This record gives sequence, structure tokens and C-alpha cells, in this order.
Amino acid sequence: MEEIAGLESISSFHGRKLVAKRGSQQTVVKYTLEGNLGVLTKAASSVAGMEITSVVVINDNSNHPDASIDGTFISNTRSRYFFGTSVGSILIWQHLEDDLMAGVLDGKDASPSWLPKGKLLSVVMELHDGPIIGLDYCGVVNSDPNSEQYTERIISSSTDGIINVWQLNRNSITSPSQPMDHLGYIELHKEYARSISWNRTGSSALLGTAENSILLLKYDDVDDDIVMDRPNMSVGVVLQSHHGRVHRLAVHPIIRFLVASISSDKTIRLWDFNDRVLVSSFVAVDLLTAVTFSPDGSSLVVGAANGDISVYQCEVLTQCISQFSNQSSSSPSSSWRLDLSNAQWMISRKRNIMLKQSKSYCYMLIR
Amino acid sequence: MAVYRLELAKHLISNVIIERINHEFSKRDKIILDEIKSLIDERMAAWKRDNSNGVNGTTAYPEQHSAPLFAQNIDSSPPNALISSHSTPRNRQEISNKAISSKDTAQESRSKIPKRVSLPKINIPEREKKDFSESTATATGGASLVAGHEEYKQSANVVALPELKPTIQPTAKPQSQQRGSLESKDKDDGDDDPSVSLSGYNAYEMPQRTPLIHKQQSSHSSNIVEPVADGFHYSQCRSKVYGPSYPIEAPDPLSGARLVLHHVYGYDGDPNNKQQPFGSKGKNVFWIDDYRIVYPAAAIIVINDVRRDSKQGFFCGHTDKVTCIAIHPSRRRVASAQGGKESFILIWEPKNIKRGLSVSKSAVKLLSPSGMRSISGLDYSGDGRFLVAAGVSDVRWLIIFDCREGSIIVSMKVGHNDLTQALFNPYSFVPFPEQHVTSSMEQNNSFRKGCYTLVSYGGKHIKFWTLKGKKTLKLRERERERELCDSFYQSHHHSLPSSPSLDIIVTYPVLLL
Repeated sequence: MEEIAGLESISSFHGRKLVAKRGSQQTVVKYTLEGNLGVLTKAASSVAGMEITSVVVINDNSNHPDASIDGTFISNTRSRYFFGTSVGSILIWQHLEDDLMAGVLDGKDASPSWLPKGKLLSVVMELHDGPIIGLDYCGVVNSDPNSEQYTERIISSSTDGIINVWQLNRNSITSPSQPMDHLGYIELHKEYARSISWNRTGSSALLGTAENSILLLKYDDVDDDIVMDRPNMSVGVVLQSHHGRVHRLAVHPIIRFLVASISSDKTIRLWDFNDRVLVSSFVAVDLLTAVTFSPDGSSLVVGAANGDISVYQCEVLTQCISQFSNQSSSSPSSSWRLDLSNAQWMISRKRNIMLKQSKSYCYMLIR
Repeated sequence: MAVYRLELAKHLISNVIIERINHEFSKRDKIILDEIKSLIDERMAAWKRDNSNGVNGTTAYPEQHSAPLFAQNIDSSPPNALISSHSTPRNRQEISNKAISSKDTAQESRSKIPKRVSLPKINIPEREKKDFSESTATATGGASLVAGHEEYKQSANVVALPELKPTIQPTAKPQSQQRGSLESKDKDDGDDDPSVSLSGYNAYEMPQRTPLIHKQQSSHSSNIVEPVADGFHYSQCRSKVYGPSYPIEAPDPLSGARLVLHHVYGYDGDPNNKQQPFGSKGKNVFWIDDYRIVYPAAAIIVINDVRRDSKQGFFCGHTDKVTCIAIHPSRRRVASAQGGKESFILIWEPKNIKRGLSVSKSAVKLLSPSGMRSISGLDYSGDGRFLVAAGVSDVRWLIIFDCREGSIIVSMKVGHNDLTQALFNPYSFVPFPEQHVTSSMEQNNSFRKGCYTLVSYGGKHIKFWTLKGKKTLKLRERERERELCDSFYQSHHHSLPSSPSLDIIVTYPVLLL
């Protein structure tokens, strides 16, 4: 394999042949929940078309939720599974306490057979309006010594665009009606969530969206007496990108690090290649095929597949150009930042160049 | 020269006639061939007459259009092509443009040259006269290719070899006016000063053209090119033509060029991607420490800093779209899978990838069973020893890899239902690290209490599994594995490590627990 110098080569090894293992599969299904069978309650199964879309496993046996990573305790198998479903509810399934090892545990043949037992603890309905796509769990060390040592947070994201933060209720085993308490939320626009994960401290969560951007949600701890009406999370952008094929790029003639791109997602986006961020984005009506800046950089010309040529103009960009040229002439080293956050893109001119007779013309050609 | 060409053409035609005489031979074909033969005879006679008057051979074609096919073909042969001037300006420009941009074009045209000679033998009898114009057109193309070739050589000297003067190395100056643009050098100077004598022109030209000339000369005619002692005698040149004293490859300024990845704008977040029908629907953005996140963008896995001055690092070991990512519980190791024709899993360490312009490819590759179209879910066990993959072929598979041995310990079909993901319960089996294991604990096996449990879910099902420890968890086995890993680590510092017992090559001890 050819490699760039200075890099270690990819090593590889081959797994065993599939056929050889077919007779001796070691995986045994102990519990199966299928459709309406198994331990699903009637309440949960009555909803048609419910599917499991996400899962998170939490440990009920340990006081230290992160201890398992350090490997400093022996785990019991007691843990809870939180299943997010496609109807916005959460199923909570638990390994039972009387999970015991069966079989011989002498030194000769340590192959204990384990018979885990489980039950469906509860079904929490109507948490979200859409499928719960992402679930994540985090244990947070409390600074307040009077309270419990850890609070455990679960964050759930859904295609309804709402991110909810829940606090796990440890007493829920005894009182399964309230397995978790609502801590906070934030509302984004729809079809948004794809992947969510807490950071180590539980102070912020990383949200990957279906529109190919990554957001950083910062969660602010609030006191209990604050009314939970307003969202108590803030959004920061880590990266944004098109969610379709990028068709064309155009470099701004004056501000050389400003680049416009068009994509099959019908958006026109302007990028700052210095800071590597998206500076402006607006939506076109039709599928776009071409983009360019005017020579003075004041307007953006976009061609669409239906023959429209649209000239977009933006006052903020014009101001930015003058600022940039002033700044670059006076002191080129100063850090000037392109700010197009308030840019309003207006169509100043529009013309359709599709020939009226183009259809018949094509027809003649084909014949 | 021209006589030779015409004789050759005539020879070919008569050959054709002899070959075809046994077959059905249309009258029209015969007429055409006879016409051509007579034309050739005329031309030969004219050339002999002119040549006896001492006129240069190139003027032997007073009317090129009367016998276009052969005239053009003859012109496309190398020595005449150098002085041919009848290619259309448009062609010439096109070809030369191509030739400037790529060396291959020139080589292609060069390789076409010998084939032109045999062209009429194949084409003439089977075609109608109308088709002659076509073959003429191709012949013209060939000629102009050669003309462009020459231009390329000149322009190549300008572009790629600015410091070397284009030189032919005869003892005397070349006579041909068309070569006037190429400066000549005295042989003595050339020998003394290699930087001058090593002209790009000759380095390219002479070694390739020489065998062609030899071949023609040996097979047919003797008065065209005479190999003199260390030099060639062209009929167009009075003096001998010499090759370079030693041929060199022209230095290519772009030979070491490569693209360096600076930044990736993008993230694969769309779970319903049509180009990735069996991709993961689960998590694919992860923290690997307090500031760095890892996520896939097509076939690249990006390690990004969430702070403002984010510079990215890249893992580029994948060859197809990355479908899913799993993070080792220690967050120091990442497993990533790709779909497509070749579906495999790579295990790599983000610590090798620094911020900014760092591209790493070093990884350990786990091959999934053949026939997998994609891997739609990955997860590490709580101790990081096992890796479960949800495989997609005609049916869905659960595949469990032992990351220490790099082997597949379980691969089983789990049905046709859509399998979204399979996860280990991270808390169900957590052994002590090695240094905490005391001998007494080893004896009573207490640290091995527990089992690996898995959950898989997807269309209309949740399934709970246990992974039965067979004999793999025995103490003996563990020691053996440790030795194995140690041997990997030690041999890493030597040359290519490989283990005789397993087909494993590891460049660094990524498999160590």
C-alpha cells in the first residue's frame, strides 16, 4: 500500500471465516420483545407503528455513575434501559434485582451461565411530539454538599425540534410513575435532531442535526423556583454545512476569503474562509445551477434550472466591502472580521432567459 | 525519403490487391486502387525528376490534394512531420494546447506515428471512395498531432525547463529552416558543459525516435537514415544528428505535489441519506475530551475543536462513506465503520491526530464477514474489550469482535427486521484493570462475576442478549493475550511485526486493553 511518507501504514488482519462459526454461535437470546409480544404493556403497544428509535443504558447499582470507566468497582448487572420510541414516549426496562449467576464458578471452567430477568418498569408517554431520535445520559457532580452527591441528567432530542433535559429520579424503582423530572428545554426548528451527547460535566451537549450542522447546547442550571416556561439552554454553532450536493463556488472579487456556494438543498451560503464559518445563508426558490459575484462585488448573480437569472444585492455586504478596502489600505495586519449576520438579501433584478420555443426546438432536434 | 514512402505505399496497395484478389472484389474498388497506383507512379516519377534536379525532397509534393491519403500519411511520419506545415491552424492550436498541459498527449501522438503507415492496408479496399475523405481526415489529424507534438516540445522547454536551452547536438548547424527556432550548440561545448548539452529536447526525442528509424531502414530502404558511428544521418540534414551524451529525465517541478487538507465544511447528519441507505441512525457526534469532538464527513472523520479558533484534524483511513462511529469507554480510541463494496471497521487513536493539517491513516482494520453491504451500528463493551457491529447484508447480522485478538467471536443472523443499532450494556461486565487484580481474586474468580449483555433494537423489536463467556475469560487465556500484546509492542520497534499464530500486523499496540 502506498503511503505518504512519515505515516504509519494501515495494518490489517482477517477475521475468522463466517462458515466456521455457524455451528457454534455463542450468543443466546434471553429476552425478546417483539411487537406486541413480550413484556410490552397494552398501553404502550396500543399505539400503532411504535418503533424504538434510541436507547440509553443507565446503571442503578452504583453511586458513582462514571466509575465504570475507571474500572474501580464490580458491577452488578442491575441497570435500566431507556428506550425512546417513534411516538415520543420512553419505555423503561430494568434488569431485575434477582439476577443471579447460575452454574459452577470453580476455577476450572469459568463459564457461568447467567439468566437475566427483566421487566418493563414504566412507559412515559407524550414527552415529545415526534420520534425521540437521541438520548444521552450524564452524571453530574453536585457542588452543593447538602444535596445528593450526583444528579443524573438525561437529554432527549426529537424531530419536533425540542431538546429536553431530564433529571433521573432515583426513587423511580419504588415509584415508577415519576422516573424523571423535567429540568429544561430548548426549541429549535423542526426535523432537527440526529445525534445528541453530553459532555463529561453535563454542562453542554453536542447536537448533530439532520441538516448537517453541529450545535453546542449550553445548559444553565436554574433554581427550582424559576418558572420553566422559558428555555434555559443556549445555542452555539460549531459548524454548519450544506445538506445537499454543492454545485458551484464563487470567490468574492474583493474580499478574497468570502466564498459563495450553491447546493442542491436550494440554499445559497456565504462562507468566511478565514474564520471557517458560515456568514450568511438564504433560500432560493428553484434548483440552482450557477453562481458568481459581480466584478465590483456588490451583487451576487445566481442562475436557476428554470432559466431564471437573479441578481441579489445586500447593503451590509456593500458596507463590508468599503470597510474592507479601507482597512486593507490603512493597516493590513489588523484583524477585521466580516459580519454579515444582519444581511438581508434582496432580488434587485430578475430575468428569465429560457427560450419560449425551447421545447419545440428540442423536439425538432430529437426528431 | 519520399521515394521510399511512395514505394512503401505502392507495395502496400499491391499487397492488398494480392490479398483481395481471391475474394469478391468489386469493380469500383479495383478502379480506385488503380487510380491510386497510377497517382503514385506519377508522383514517384515527378519526385525522381525533381530530385535529379537537386531540389529538396520536401518539394516533391506539388499537389497534395490530388492524392490526399498517402501524401498526408507520409507527412505524418516522423522526419517529414517535423517540417510539415499544412495542418490547419485550429488543429494545431488545439493540439498544442493539449500538449502543453500534459505530457501524455505528446507520447500518445508519438505512439500513433508508426501505426499510420499501415493504415491504408486495412482501410482502402473495404471502403468506398466516399470514405477516403474520412481516412484523410484522420490522417490529417495524425499529421497535426505530430505538428502539435513539435510545438509541445518547444513549449515544454519553455514551461518545464526554463533554464535549459533547446538544443540539437549536431556538429554543424542544421540546415532546415523549420528548425531555425531550435538553437544548436557545438558538440565540444556540450561535452564540456553538461547543463547545456542535456537539453530537454534531445532527452525526450532521441531515444524514442531512434528505434523507429532503424526499423524502417532495415526492412525497406537503405538511403534514408544512415546510422553513422555515434550519430544519425538524416536526409534533410547534411550533418550528423547526435543524441545527448547521456539522456536524463526532465525534472518535473510538480513531481512531489500533493494536496493538503485544510478544513472540512460538512457533517453527515442526515439519517435518511439516499446515498447511504444502510447507514447508522444513531449517534455520530462524540466528545473525545473536554473540547474536541469527532464526527464523520463522507469518508473523512474530522476531529474538531469546539472553541472558536477551531483547527481540524482528520482521519483519512476510510475509502468509502463512514456509516457509524463508536468511542472506546476511555475515549482514547475510536472505532469507525464504512459501508459500500468493501465494508470494514477501523480502530484508531485520536491522540495521533494533532490539530491543524494533521492527517492520519494509521489504524487497525477489522474485516467484517464477506458479503456485508454496510455496518449500521457500532458499540464498545463497557470494558472496551468487545466491539459489536450491526451488519447489513440480505439479512441483518450481529457481529462481535474481540478487540484484543482482532477476531470475530460471534457472527449470527438476527432476522430480516431492520436493525437500527446494537449496544452493549456498559455496566454489566466491568473487570478490574490488571494492576488491581490480586492473586486471591484471580483464584476465586470474583472479578469475573457478571456477563456481557447486549441490546439490539430496530423495526418492531427489542432484543436482549447475553454473550456467554466460553473459555475466553480464563486466566491462562488472559496471560497469553497479554504476552501476545507485549510481543506486538516490542516488535513494533523493530521492523514489520507479525504474529505467526494470528494474521495480525499491528503498528502500535492499539489492541492493548
